[in-house]
Amino acid sequence: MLHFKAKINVRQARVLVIEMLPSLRTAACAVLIFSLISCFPPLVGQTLPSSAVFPAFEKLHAAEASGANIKNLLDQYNSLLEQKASDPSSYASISSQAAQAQQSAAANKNASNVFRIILVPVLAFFLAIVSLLLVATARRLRQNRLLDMRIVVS
Amino acid sequence: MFQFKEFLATFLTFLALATLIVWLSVNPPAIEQFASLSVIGPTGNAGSYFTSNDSRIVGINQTVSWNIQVYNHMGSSQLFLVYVFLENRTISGPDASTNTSTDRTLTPLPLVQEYHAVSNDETWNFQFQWALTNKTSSPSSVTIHTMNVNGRQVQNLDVSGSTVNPTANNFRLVIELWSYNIPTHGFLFSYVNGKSLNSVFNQIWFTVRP
Repeated sequence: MLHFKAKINVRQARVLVIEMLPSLRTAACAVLIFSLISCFPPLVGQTLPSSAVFPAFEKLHAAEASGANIKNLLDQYNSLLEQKASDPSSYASISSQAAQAQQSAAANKNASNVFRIILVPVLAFFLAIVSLLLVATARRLRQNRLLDMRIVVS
Repeated sequence: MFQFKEFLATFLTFLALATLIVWLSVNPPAIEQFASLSVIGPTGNAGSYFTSNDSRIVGINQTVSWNIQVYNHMGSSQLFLVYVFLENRTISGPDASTNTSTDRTLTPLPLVQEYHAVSNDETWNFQFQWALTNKTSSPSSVTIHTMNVNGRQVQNLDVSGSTVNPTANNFRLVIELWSYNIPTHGFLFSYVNGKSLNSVFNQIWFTVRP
C-alpha cells in the first residue's frame, strides 16, 4: 500500500514540477517537495496489503474473547490476506461484523449468566425437595411394611 | 412430612454442589499455551529435506519443495507471521536464549513473509518451494544472487558462503515464527506465554558448491 502511495506521489510530484517550470522559485519548491518524497523509499519486500489488517484482527480477537464464533470471519480475513487485498474497506467490513458478533455474544453471555444465577438455587431447591420426598416415602413404606407384619405366636 | 432443618441442610448441600459444577464449567482449567513451527520435507517427514539420501548439496535450478506448518495452542486465535531468510555462517541468526531474531541489518530481505490468522488448536500449512537461480563463485566462496521462491523471483540477495571447508554446509534457510501482540499492536518473536517470551524458529543448512 505504501509502495502504491509512493508511486502515485512521485507521479503527482512530477506533474507538479512540469506545471511550475515557468516560475523559477516555485520550481525550486517543487524540486524540494519531489526530493522529500523520494527520501521515503517504498518498503521493498513488505507484503502487508493494508494497514487495516491489524485493527481488524484485534476486533476479531475481542469478539472471540466475548465468546463469539468467529470461524467464518477468520476464513474471510485469511482470504483477504491471501489476495493481498489493499482496500481497507474489506477489512473494515470484517471489523464491523466482528463488532456485531461481539455485541451479540456479550448479550448472550449476560443472559446465560442471569439464567445460571436463577437456575442454580432453583435446581438446588427442587433437588432438595425431591430427595427429601423420596426419603420420606421410603420411610413410610418401611413403616407400613413393619405394621403389616403379622405376629405369629406358636 | 420433613423438618425445616432437614430441608435446609439438603438444600444447602445441593446449592454448593450445583455452584461448584457451574463454576467448573465457566472456568475450565488453564491450558499450556504454545505455538509450534515445523518444516516437512518432500517425503512428508521432518527430515530428508533435499533428497532421499539427504545430500544437502543444492545446485542451480534444483527445486526443493517443503511444507511449513504452524500450530496454534495459545487458547485463542492468533495472527502469525512467518519469515524465511537466507543466511550464511556469519550472519547472526535467531537465538532462543536471548529471544532475539535474525540480525536484520546483515540479512537481505526475507524470501517469504506470510501472514495468517490461525484459530486455536488448528494448524496452518503452506508450501515453500525454492530454487537457486543465479550464483557466482570465487576461489574461497560462492555467492547466491537470486532465488525462485514459490514461483516468484527474489533478487539482490547477494549472500556469500565460504567454500574453504568442502564438507561444511555454507548456507541455511532460517524460518522464524512471529505473532501479533495486541497490547503492543505489533509483532513479537515469537509469542508471549503468560509473562515470558518464547522463540520459535527452524533452520535448515545446505551446501552450495562453486
